[in-house]
Amino acid sequence: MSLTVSNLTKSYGNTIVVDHLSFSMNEPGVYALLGTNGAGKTTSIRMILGMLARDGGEVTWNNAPLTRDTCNIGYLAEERGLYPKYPLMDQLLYFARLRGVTGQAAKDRIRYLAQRLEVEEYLYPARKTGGNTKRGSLFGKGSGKSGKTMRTDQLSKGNQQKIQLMAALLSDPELIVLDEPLSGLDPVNADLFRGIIREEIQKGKYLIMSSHQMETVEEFCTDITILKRSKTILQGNLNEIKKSRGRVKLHLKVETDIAELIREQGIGIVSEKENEYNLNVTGQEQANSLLGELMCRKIPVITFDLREPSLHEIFVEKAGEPDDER
Amino acid sequence: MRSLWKRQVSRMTNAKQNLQGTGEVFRFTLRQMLRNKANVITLLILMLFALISPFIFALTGESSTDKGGVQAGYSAVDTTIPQLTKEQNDLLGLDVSIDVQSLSGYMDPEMETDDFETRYYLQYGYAMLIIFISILSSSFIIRSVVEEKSSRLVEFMLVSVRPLALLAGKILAIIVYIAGIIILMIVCFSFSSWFCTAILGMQADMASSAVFTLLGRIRLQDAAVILISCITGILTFAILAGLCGAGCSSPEDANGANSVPMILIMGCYLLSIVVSSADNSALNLAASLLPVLSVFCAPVQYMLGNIRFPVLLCAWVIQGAVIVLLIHLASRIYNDLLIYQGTRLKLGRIIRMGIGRKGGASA
Repeated sequence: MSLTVSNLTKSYGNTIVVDHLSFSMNEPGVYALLGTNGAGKTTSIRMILGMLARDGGEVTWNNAPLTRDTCNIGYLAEERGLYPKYPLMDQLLYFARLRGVTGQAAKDRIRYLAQRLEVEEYLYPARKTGGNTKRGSLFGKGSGKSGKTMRTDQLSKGNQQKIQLMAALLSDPELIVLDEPLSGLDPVNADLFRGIIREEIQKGKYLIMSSHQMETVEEFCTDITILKRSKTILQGNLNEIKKSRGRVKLHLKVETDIAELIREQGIGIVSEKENEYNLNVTGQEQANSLLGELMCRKIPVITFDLREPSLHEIFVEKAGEPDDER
Repeated sequence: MRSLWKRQVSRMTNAKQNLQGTGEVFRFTLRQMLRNKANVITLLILMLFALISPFIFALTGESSTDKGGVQAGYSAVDTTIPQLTKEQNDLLGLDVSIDVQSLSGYMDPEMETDDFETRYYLQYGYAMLIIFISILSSSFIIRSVVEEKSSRLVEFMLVSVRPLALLAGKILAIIVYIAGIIILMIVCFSFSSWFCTAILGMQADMASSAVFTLLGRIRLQDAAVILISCITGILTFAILAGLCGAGCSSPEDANGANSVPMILIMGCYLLSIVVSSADNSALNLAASLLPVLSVFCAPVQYMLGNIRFPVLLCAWVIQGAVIVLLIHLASRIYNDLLIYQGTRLKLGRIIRMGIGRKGGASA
């Protein structure tokens, strides 16, 4: 299986919002679509999924145009939602049927995902047994303890997000598109989401992810595209991009103030706090020279970590500072 | 010839694909409408009205029967006239009912339909039916579309179902729901009427009410004409409502969106009353053929004998073409409208979007 996006273009009037975006996924994994706000990520995703008409370019899945009929797609939109007043189980069964998953298969899939995302209590409320569970007495009407499946507006935002992820994965899709999947989640729920993403990767699924949380992208993604003002400014395999930059980031912790010495060596200080420095070096040679100098001056070194730049650092460098946003 | 055939087959396949999922949307929408508490309460209130209205007709009918006219005059005084026999006096004491009929109506019963009152009540009654169904369905459709848009659900839905299927499923569910309401109201009304007369023995002069006059005049073929015209009207206003609803981004915009089909419905209603009252043959013909207005005028003019069946057929074909155009417009831009977030798009802009659009929205 393979996904190919070639020369995707979109403009509104004279404003180009996506300018010849091209990338491909020839094997399962996670592809990251990154960019500053308004760079064209969501528009690109909408065009890839066929929701928005394209001005140019094409998207193929196994060399055939990508449509609802040629590919089983799961989508977690950036602007998420559910029917606020309808029972959750009804909604999930409806979404499953729309994707062609019916009957017991749909129920089994819902049960499995509910367990994985820890939302069973909202979908399968405790049945009344003996006289122990009194409807509405302890948790209020429709709290999930009254034998009635809950409604969306009775859930917290995080739990609603879990139901939305469930809805996206109901048909066990081949291609999963996650637009800002972890935004607004607490660390515990974010870990649950990460677990699900990891599981889908292990199953050999194709994922496209758009996120501003670079650590998450770095954790999962193999290839990236960074967009800035509709244009692709960086693209390729994440490891290769990092390698090409070299080991230019030095994290140094010592027992005395060495700011003056660092400046003497011609090294740029990124941040400095209580004798702990984040530095930009030109490469291993300059870092070793600094270490040698510290040894000569008998300054005890607590931490000396020379590494490749993180995705966050690459992104900030390439996409620009926040004031560069449109 | 073969390429034309292939193109037609391809078009039909596309149309079939575009409507894939309509059944699921229909079932879900209908189920949720039936479960909605506000809808259940509305239904109960309407059924209650239908149940009590025959009693009200009966009570008001009894007090205003013609007994209060000539008979009351006899009752007020001692009606026993000594010069007459007992049988003759008893005959005078019987209830008197008076049926006033024009001479032309007496001479030619067919001419009776030209009576202004009949024309007015027929137009009024039919227009009320259309208004009731169209306004109710339009507001339900707008509410349903805006609910999906404002809850940001629509983007997720569009991965699973095509926009046209989403709209078609909703429209069908809402029409079935409203048709159900009307059927239930008719059943309740009929039962209550039967109960009034057969069980309680209330002798109301039902024929005096406009409702019964109209019901008494409607033949099977008229019912078919009304049904077809109702369907064309409801579909027109429903698709229009769907497009107007899709131009909204929040529930606050829904009122503004609702005003477009509402103004159109009310405008057509008023015009139809004017046309019916004017009784001008040229005006009748024009109003019967003019798209949208024809929904209100054509069936009534046909039933009154002012237009012939081919004209009515022509009106249906024109209205059908309008519906096809609206569906075509919806298939081109409904997707984009659903994705759109911002200030409410007015109908004029929506139509311009549809005309300016080069191709289908969805892949």
